[in-house]
Amino acid sequence: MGSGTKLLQRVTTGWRILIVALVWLGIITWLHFSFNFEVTNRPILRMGYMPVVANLACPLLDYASEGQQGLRFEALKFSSFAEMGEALRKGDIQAAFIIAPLSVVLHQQGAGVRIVYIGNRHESTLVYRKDLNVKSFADLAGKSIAVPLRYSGHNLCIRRLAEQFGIADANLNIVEINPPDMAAALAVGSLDAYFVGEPFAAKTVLAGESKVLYYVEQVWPDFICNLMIVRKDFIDTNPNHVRLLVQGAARSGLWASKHPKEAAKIASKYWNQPLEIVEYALTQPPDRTVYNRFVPKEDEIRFMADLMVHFKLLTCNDTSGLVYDKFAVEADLKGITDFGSILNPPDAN
Amino acid sequence: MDWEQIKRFVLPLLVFVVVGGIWEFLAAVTGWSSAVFPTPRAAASGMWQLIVDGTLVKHSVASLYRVTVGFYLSVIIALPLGMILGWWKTGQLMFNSMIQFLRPISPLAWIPLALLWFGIGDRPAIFLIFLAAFFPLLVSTINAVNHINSLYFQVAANFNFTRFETLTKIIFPAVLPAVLPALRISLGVAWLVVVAAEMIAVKSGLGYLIIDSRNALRMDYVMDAMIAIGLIGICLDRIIVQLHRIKSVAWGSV
Repeated sequence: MGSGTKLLQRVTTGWRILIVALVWLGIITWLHFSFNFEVTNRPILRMGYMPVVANLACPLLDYASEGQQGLRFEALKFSSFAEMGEALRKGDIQAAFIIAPLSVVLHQQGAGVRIVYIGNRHESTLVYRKDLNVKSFADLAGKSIAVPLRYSGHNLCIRRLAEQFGIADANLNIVEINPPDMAAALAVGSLDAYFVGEPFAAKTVLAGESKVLYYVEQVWPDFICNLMIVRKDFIDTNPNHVRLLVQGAARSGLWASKHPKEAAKIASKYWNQPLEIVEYALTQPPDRTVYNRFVPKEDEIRFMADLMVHFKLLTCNDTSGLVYDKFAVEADLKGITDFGSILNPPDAN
Repeated sequence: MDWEQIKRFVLPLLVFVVVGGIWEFLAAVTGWSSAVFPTPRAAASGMWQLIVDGTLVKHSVASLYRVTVGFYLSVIIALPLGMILGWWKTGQLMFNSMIQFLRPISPLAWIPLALLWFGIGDRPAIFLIFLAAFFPLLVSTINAVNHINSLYFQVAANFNFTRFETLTKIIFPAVLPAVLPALRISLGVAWLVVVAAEMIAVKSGLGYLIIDSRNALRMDYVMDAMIAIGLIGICLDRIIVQLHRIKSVAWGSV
């Protein structure tokens, strides 16, 4: 019958569509899981990070553990510290390379985090637009200065400098801008200066768009840009993993200090930044980056918390229990030779 | 090849060529460096790099996977729900305000909640894509049911249809002509939201490629990812338009 066959056609078409839809789902799922996932039965330790020199350990650890056996370190790039904090709280990542003051904030919010490692020091730079006539910090009064976040060592440093040079709050124009946007904003003239971790400062210096006012070590020796935090309960359940993590991070830093060009090559791939800029950031001025002061110290963190209270970023300077230096202090730093030795100390058991 | 076919292929191509020419002209005239606003040639060479090292394929697959799953989920949930709510007038009265309240909330605003509920990786991205596609589809389906000629329901009553039979034999076929354009729009919205959805900590996808390349100030890669998104979008649209051609649906073009 006419209507009967039409109905049959309709049903068949419906089934056909369903089958095609299911087949497509199958194909795209299979493709996705074969291209974008690493299948492994190794235990994985996920580290969240942002692409700055202070967190060089993160891509190095990921790369070093790639072809090997044992614990797999996986580096996960984040675009905001807020997300990173959330992911750490939920356990989606086990370690976070986070901007230092934020660790105090998280601690006071009861997130149960511990600072186990300090990232490379002296890798932040204050640069100003080259057409401005800036001889000292006093000349930046009234000019727009960008920092990554109000809870950053950079913000604290700028405010300290402002106090030092007698610049009133009303005359201080600090803006929070995402590091990748700082270079572009400076280049088009909507920003006068910015203070950030490398390689974001090197970007405009190399492009001839900015000049260096201060290397951070000139105004704040021992400046901490980023540090590594893990949750206390992760330390309790997997102390050996944390030990390997901190030890590997420390060893990778010491390796990088002897092989900056190779380190730059690895980092530039992970960060998706041009090699020349990363190399410049790691080698100019020579021996700039400090890799061997990675043990977290109570008094340093307390000093930072005091500054945060002084500049009204926090109401309380409590940092008790935040620093956990056991793994950093006990890290085996012997026999760091080639890249493979980062995760394989000579007398490891 | 007859003239009609040639026209259908050549005329759109002509528009693309003209737009490409305008792009080239702008890049030359505005004086921005090629690093900030790449020329078509810079974008083309970047595209070649991305294709050759497999990056573009890898990221396209990831985005397509998330959009597929998110879109399928939204269809599976929105269509039946829409038909039921469209038919159940009391339910429509109860839920319509809530639907209209949630609908304008951008998927971007849901990111913190998505991260909280689904963690990192594919799942929060799929959730955001689902949200983006769900509401237009739901609203269109409810609307389509509201416009069904009441005569059909009387016919169903005459035949003593059960609720299930009314749903599958009257409502579903009756809403199809209106739902298919809604599917097309929803798929477009789902594919559009992929950039926002992949702003969260995923490691792959065309949206991730755009953000990562922008962070690295590789604007040529940004343009390439945009072009890839546009091209795949055209393909997706062409595929779903085929559904309109089904004879059993074409009768009710609204």
